Amino acid sequence: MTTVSVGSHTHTTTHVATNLLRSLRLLLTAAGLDPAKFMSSWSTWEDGVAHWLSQRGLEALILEIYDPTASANDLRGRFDFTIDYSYGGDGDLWIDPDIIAFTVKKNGSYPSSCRYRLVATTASWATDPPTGNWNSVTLRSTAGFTRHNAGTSVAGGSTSASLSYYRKAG
Amino acid sequence: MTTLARRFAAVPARTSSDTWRAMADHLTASSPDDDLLDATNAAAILIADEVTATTPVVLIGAGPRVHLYTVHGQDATSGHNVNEAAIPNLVFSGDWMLYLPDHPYEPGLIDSLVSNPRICIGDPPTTAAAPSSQRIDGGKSRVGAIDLGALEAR
Repeated sequence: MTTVSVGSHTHTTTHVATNLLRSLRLLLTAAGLDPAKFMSSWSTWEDGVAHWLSQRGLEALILEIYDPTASANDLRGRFDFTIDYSYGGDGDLWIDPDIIAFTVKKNGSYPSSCRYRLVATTASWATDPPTGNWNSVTLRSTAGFTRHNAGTSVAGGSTSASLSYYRKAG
Repeated sequence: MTTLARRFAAVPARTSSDTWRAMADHLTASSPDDDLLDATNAAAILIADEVTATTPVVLIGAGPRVHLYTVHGQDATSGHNVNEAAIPNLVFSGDWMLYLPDHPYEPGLIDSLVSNPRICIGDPPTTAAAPSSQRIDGGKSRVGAIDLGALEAR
């Protein structure tokens, strides 16, 4: 775990935004997926996440993994970074990269033929970031999946991101 | 050969993308050029992983050789060890090249993110003879490698 003691809301926002993206990249790689698509839009996502965090309007970053060859029920897995703005931190900014490896070990990886989609869920009053082309989408159904909490992956000040994963039940 | 080093405040003072944009703005202040922004995603990933804290992005052929590092954590917010002083007289109308370091733990990670021929991933040549039209031996210098870090001007 990496810890730095700094403090302002701006610093917290910046720290959480960049390290959320960093965690996502590590997660994609660890899960056996090609991170190139995500990395090619890194700055757009980072600007967007920082914008929403500064408004306290980002609710979660959701990574859906699906099988492009399936005609229906194509969801194969899902990872959520859920944001909490009332985290009882002591002002330290920290990231726990080990939680990514732990989560993938528990969840398992995916065939490289799987694809993924990253979705941000925001508060109804959150505004679109000034850059990027953002569209509303509907999340895939998680019926038949069970959600598991892995723990807090990134935190700073009163903001934290907790990682959870969905695995097919049974 | 003059080598100038600059150390930019990165996360949490700036996001990784904003850090690169600040570097690009800094370099092109007197000679506007958008080419450096083609490196934003690749450079931002290196910055986020703190690769550039110890391994510089190197600009050659636009004036003095420039080494760009990043400063992270508490130093980034306090300004300790940060040096963003302007570099005068950089000119991007000539045969310049920008070298991004390869990712030390995941070689090739950022290869697909850079298509601009003026932006390379890997070690720069060890002398200032950077213009591609003058390169020999595949860009390798005939001068033995030296530790440029020891020669960096502040």
